[in-house]
Amino acid sequence: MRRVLLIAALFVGTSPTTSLAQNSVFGVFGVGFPGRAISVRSRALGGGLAAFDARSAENPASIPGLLRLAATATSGTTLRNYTALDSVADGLKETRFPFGMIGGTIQRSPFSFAISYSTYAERSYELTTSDTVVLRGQPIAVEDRLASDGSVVDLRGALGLRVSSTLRLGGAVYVLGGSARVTTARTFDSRLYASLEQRDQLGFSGVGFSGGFVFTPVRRIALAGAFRTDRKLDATRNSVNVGSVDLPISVTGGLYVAPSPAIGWSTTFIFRGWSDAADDLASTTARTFDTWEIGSGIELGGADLGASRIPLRVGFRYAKLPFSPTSDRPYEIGFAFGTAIQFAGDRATLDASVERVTRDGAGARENAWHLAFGFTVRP
Amino acid sequence: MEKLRDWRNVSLLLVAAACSQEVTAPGVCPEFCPSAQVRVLDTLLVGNIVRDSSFRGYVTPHRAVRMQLSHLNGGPGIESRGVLRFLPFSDSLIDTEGLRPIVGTDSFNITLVLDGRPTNVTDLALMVHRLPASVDSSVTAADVEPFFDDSTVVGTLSLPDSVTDSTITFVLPPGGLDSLEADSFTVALGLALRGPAPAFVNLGTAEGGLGATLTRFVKIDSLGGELADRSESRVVSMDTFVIPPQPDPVATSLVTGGLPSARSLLRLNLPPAIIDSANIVRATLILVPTEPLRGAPGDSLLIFVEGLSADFGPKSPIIPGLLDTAGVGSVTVPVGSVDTLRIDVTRTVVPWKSNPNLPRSLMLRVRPEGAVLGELRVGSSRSVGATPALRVSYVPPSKLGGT
Repeated sequence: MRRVLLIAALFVGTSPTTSLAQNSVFGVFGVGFPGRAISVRSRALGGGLAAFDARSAENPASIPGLLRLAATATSGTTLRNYTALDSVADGLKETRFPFGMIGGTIQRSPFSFAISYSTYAERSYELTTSDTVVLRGQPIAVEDRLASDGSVVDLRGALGLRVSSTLRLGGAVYVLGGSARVTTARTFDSRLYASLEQRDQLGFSGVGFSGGFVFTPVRRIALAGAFRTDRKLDATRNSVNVGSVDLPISVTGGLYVAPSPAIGWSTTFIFRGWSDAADDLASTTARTFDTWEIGSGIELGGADLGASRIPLRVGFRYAKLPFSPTSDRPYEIGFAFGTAIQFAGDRATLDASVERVTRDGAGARENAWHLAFGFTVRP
Repeated sequence: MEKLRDWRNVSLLLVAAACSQEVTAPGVCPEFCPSAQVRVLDTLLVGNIVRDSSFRGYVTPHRAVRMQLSHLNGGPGIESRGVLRFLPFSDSLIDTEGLRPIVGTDSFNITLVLDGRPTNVTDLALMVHRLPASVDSSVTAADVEPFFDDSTVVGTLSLPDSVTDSTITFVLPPGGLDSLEADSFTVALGLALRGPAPAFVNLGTAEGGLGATLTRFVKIDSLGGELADRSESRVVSMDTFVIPPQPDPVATSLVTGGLPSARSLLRLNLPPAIIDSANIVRATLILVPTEPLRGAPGDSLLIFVEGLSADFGPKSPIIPGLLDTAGVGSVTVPVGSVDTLRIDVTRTVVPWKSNPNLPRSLMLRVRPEGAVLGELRVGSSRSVGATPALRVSYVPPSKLGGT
């Protein structure tokens, strides 16, 4: 009982009402900056393992990989800077808890389950601008602050089935939620004008479904695929419905090859049809594009491969971003490195990854270091 | 125990990693900003001021914190005169030997507090006249006019040109203030300003803690048949100032100031889209005079526009405005001006959104009330071509990107 409570406390304690992921200069557009529902292990592998990783939420068919009850929580710290047109921002830092999961097998059955939360779209930013505006015929210096704190949260309940030793199937239901506190403020360099601060509470809701498989045709080689569709994301402002946005379908494919027991090479490809949302976002400054991303990584050793206690993981990722202020489609390149350590009688694992990310496009270039820690307990 | 330490170390690592952030960045707008932008709109609300009216009688001159004396010298404006009545003197004084009779008066000193005057008019003087001791606070200009005659002058007080606000003492010869017994030893004086050009002076009053003082220097019959010098002082028991009857304002005018002081109450019926949904960043009340500002020559009128904590009509409690160097909430208008008044009321109007219990009403009054001759007469909602208006700069609710 104490173990169950411990896991519950870990899960709840690291899932804030607005679980947030790293921010970006590209995160002010559309529904926000897309999150990644993956574990620190997958992140260290460039996302290459996402389609196979039981501790990630990309493919519900991966859940049978959880051989026993486990709970995972992650934290991520981003250190970043960017140049956008003629503006430079430096020293930006955020820490978030972007992903958590609890799951395991259902005893005396071929089924496994998992419940997870992740960031679907990050909506946190705080921008300050200075300008001079003409009011009543007089130029007045103003300073604006546009801030949003929150995200669209993705809660998943998934069920996996071990059909045979070579085939696993899975399905999941997603409940989209979350909120964002939006602040619009302006101060005038004149005592004749009152400062302005408008605060709004945005709320989001929606549902989605997914299905997937993991197929192992031969030993040391696996294929994976998943498909996800979501209904519209409904948005409210201060509890008043203000519209909805069509969310994309996602198609995921993966290849896993283990040339030797101590080496695992994984690749995951994801397509998201974000252009479905273009019509709903037409009134905003954002242009919307379909995106694809590919991540690939190699893992050497480690307990997950049953080879050694401490693994080494390296990965690479390339992704297109869905929103842009121009017709130029931004992209993201990341190089990742990571490892893990087990302790508490191998009942707990601390995963760590370091990722160097560069985002470029539409006149902006952003560089970031992303440090992630994942804590997994298996009572 | 070692396992416990491992868990604790990992927990501390996670907490430490989550403890700080710096997310504020310069915005690059409009390219890299959300579609939510601050947009200021400006509109003139005409016809949104309703049920406006004026009420007179808030502060009468004898209750004012100062009095204003003016001299027109043939020019336009309002001429006023001061009236002082002092507490009665006595017919005897206490000496070391006891109560001794007063046998003679040497002179009088009058002490006044000058509380403002124009600096561009020199050689001003106050003519002091003897008034009947029976004058009281209901006295009118017509009542005292016969006594402001050369024959009743008891002294001329020359105001030093260099003094604008200070306590000054003058000597009055005893001749003009003899026969005090007939008035039960009560002295009443009238003050009239004189000078080579139209001007005014402000004098302190008892209500403001700066009332006049009259001192009598006397001789008493001391024991042994010798005369001894003594003095006694009296403060005013009543001080006021009077003006001739003024022409009535246009029936549809709003009147503010004057004697006794008047206030104007304006009620605003603002569009909900502005007052409830938007954020007002500046509001300016626009008033159109129906006649030149009346008042003492060379003076100017400080007019405040203040909010109310409740609207009970003329007796509504006012939320006092603060004098602001930027002129927020008030305006100073020179006498004779016919210019349109623009008074910033942003500080009063902005709280109306967050506190719907506040009445959306404005009260106009002068400062100090009842102490200045100035009277503002502006058009009301019933006037033609001079209706008050409110100019509002506001920010409509932002449309949020993606929603």
